[in-house]
Amino acid sequence: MLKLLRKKQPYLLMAPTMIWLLAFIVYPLVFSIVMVFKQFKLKRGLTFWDMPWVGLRNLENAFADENFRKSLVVTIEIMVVAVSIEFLLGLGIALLLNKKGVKGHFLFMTLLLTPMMMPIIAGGLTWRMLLDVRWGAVNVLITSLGFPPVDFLGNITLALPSVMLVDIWQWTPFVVLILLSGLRAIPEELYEAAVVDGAGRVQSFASITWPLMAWPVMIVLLIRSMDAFKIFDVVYSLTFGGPGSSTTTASFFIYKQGFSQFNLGYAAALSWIVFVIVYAISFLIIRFLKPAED
Amino acid sequence: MTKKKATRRFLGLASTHVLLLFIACLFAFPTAWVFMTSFKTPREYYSMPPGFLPNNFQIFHYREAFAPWTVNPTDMATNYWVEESAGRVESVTPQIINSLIITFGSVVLALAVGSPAAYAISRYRFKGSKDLSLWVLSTRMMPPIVTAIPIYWIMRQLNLAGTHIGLIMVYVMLNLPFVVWMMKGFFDDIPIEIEEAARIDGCGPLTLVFRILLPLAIGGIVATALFCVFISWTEFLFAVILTDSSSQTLPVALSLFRQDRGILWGQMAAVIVVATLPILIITLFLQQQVVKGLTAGAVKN
Repeated sequence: MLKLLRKKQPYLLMAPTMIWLLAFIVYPLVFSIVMVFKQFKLKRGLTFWDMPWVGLRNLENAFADENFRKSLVVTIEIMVVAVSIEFLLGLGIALLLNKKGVKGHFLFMTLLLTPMMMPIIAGGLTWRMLLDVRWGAVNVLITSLGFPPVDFLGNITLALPSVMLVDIWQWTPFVVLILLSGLRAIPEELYEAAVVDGAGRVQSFASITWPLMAWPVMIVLLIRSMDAFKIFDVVYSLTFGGPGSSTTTASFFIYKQGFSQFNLGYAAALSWIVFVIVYAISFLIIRFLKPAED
Repeated sequence: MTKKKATRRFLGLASTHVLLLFIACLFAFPTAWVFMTSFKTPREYYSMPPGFLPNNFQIFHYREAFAPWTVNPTDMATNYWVEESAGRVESVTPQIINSLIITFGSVVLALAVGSPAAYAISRYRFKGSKDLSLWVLSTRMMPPIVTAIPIYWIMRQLNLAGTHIGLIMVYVMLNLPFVVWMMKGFFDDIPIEIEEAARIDGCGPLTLVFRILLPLAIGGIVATALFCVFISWTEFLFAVILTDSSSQTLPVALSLFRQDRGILWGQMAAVIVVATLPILIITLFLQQQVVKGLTAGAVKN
């Protein structure tokens, strides 16, 4: 008996975690599949069995939903634009910090990390304050330069860039962190050898830094792209999806369907579509950016 | 010639530092601005142009936000020009207490549930160990809204919606991938010889855990716990759907500030500062560990 216990020990140790994840991830996911095929009304006293089956209607409606499609476009816009800027900016800062002879890392990192330490909801509110038409610091700067004030959050074309701005402010430091730890892992000797061989700065970047950075680069792009589909807090606190639906991201749209329209079955259908898209995108990123094994 | 080269090098390095400092300050500016605003009178933050530093550091926004009963509205109105807000704000002290309970509960539970799994992954090669550990890590990639919808319904059916326990259980799930991966790294650093030696000396499994493993891993446990504090303290989506007025957390209380057209900036800034400060202090003291948590699984394969 004891011997059997010993043999099964790793499984016993894994069990609590597995049970927890089964209960709070796998079971909800399975349950959510069932929800897709039912009409879920949130009403006191109604149980699971009172909800009528509706077959594929939720999914059909989801694919025909103009507003949902728009929210996907908004999400993908954020993903492409904000993540690209975060990546380039983050890479630049990481390269600067990694330069030989640069001192004061602790100070720089502490200042850089402050945006990440704020709850995202607070970050959104902070920028609401900074971008305010009349009293915001950004507009004070703009008017003092002689330009008319800009209504960042009330303007249908500027609201989405504002959301992106907050995302860039909050997550570029994260990109810096990962890329910097990747840069630090590159042995110094490689560069010295390259200099001996007469390689210039551009050449050594292209032949040493870039290939060795392939893994952290993929990870950072993967994590940040997936995160774009999670964007919710910023939208909630900065614009609440508006004006119109110009900043309604997929997560926020689903939230509104589920918790202000109380259409849980429909929201479940939408969230499954998003889930599939997220996995497809992550598959593509891994497929095309995964460094060759050596 | 070499002197010229040295000067150029020095200038290059100096400009790099200036540029870095400028960028870093740009990133820190919004946080600093909120911090300053929380100490300003409305007269100051509604003035043109508003200064960066408050004239003198006033703490009445903190009093309004956390202990409104100490505020005398008429006194406030005459002295600080805050007639429109004074006395109409509800205290956020209950929400802070809720946040503390939920954060503490979820972090302790997540460590208790996740650490054994981390130990198993670190010490044993068993069938499916690699797949299981990768799956655990991959759960953090999923958009939370996907599980939020069914979890909301399930919690409602179990009468756990709106309770502290319901949210704690969900936060344990959010923390688990980080606990497993961070703690695995820390267990990897403990040499297995120590355990073997203890076992040969006749150490039972319980003594081994409490006398040998826990003391050796304490640094890692603290770092992991603080990282989980960060997650639980700032989470918003599950908090907003799973809490009611009796269990609201601090981020939910913050989100309520946006509802009226005229935001109460001073109080809002004070609450933002209080919501941010604990995490900021943690990071200041444990930068390395926090960085390790954020990059968990990202750098080392």
